[in-house]
Amino acid sequence: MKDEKSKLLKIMNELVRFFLKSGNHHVNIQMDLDEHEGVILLEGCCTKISDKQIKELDNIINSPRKDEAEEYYWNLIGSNDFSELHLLGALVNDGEVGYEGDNLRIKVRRKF
Amino acid sequence: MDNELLKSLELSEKIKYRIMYLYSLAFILSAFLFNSLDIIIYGIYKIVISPTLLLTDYIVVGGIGASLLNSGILMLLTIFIARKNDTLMNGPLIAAIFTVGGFAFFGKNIFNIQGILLGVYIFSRIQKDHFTKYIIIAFFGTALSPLVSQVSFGMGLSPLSGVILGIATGVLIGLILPPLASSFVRFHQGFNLYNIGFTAGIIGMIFMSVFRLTGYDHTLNQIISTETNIPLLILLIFYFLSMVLVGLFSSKNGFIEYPNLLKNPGRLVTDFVSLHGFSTSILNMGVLGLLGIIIVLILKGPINGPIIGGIFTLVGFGAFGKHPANTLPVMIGVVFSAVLLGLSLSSTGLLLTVLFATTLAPISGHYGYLAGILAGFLHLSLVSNLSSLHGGMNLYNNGFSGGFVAAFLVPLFESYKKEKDL
Repeated sequence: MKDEKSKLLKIMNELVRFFLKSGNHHVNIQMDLDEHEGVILLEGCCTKISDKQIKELDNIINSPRKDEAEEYYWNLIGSNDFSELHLLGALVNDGEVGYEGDNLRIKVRRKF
Repeated sequence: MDNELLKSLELSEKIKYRIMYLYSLAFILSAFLFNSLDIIIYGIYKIVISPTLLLTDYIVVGGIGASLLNSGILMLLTIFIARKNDTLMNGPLIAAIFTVGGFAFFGKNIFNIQGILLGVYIFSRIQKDHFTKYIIIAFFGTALSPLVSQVSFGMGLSPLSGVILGIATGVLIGLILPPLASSFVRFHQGFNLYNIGFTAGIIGMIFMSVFRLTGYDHTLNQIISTETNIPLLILLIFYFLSMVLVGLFSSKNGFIEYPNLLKNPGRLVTDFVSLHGFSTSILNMGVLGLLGIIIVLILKGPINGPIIGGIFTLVGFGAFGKHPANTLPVMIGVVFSAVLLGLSLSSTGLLLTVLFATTLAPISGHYGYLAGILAGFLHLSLVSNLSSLHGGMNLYNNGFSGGFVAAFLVPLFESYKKEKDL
């Protein structure tokens, strides 16, 4: 439980990386946490995001959480030189992706 | 294949578990084709009381029947523990089961893994967390089982105090392994598939340093069978062929999805079961098993305990990052270097390096064939220098070496890339 805040930070880093990779230079981040769960919301405008990427991200963050390998890999996420976006789904319970106009909005939730 | 279609074709957890149970039972039953019950029981006893340092071939120590039974029981135990903890039968778990089963031919046994598993369990309770979160670390963490056996039976202690101290050492390892494993993965950035091997190497090195400081030291074992038992070879061929058949016929996606699996670079954490389905993964595992046997036979090596361990690890990671396209360059790199250096290609030591060097498969998967060949060369150079550091007490010595090779190569490759990916 004591690593929960560190895990949320890494999830946030990975999502910020996704925004930067999509050509975005302005991201608003909101993080809410209580004793049961943490919710991260990122909003910003993008220039290079395709429908396929949106669908892939939606699939990833809504794939089943995988507790069994969590302690094995969570330190890889959001910390090194490589995108670990595919691992996000294993760490978060669910999420939403919205793209309207130039505005990309990603929300993920992790239960503790 | 479309994500939704893949999901709809996936086998249920119940069936996946049944298939895995069958593979462990196959070894248990096969044991009795080779030896009678009394010989097997005596063989298991000999296996349990051996210090099990690298390299201790259980086929020499306890016979083929006892080795098969030991392997089958350990696989059955890991599957049972995983099921009881509601763990999904995915890539990391399958890799762990087959790695435990493989090393049950040269280092792991029913006695020396228990303390480590218990230690990781206690760690999860201390953290007030589910054991499931640490189960993969617990299974792979049995890499340090020889440390338990060495303290129990190899340090000249009385049998009772030796066993108690050995189990206590195992529990201690289990208590320190999870935070270290989680931290060290950053060192090689996921390019060394045997991450626990690297962690276990560091732990083994620390323990061995303390032992040596107190005046205790030991030499490495070289108890190796040099003969190939033909019935055992045939059993293994059927075992891996059955995986290919299960992969092809258990689901429609098995064969169709395989070309997509072969495109993965394989870096940690690439769970083939989640990405491509159980059937495709088991097909890949069977192909890798047969490939491993073919390579050993081409190089005129024996199919002994350690070699079976190497092939089984290759097979297990066929669900968790390895496939022919990313493993072959690294293996070729080791063989090519050995030819240049005039080393014997048929020696067990070299063949183990060929098989276990595939821990660096993600390097060839990510940076290309030439990078994989270079990684194989560096791995061969480094691996033989490291086992004395941990006194042969870390069974995944190649994972220890692979961690250093990956940490050395990856930043260099990244620096000289034309464009840096985010």
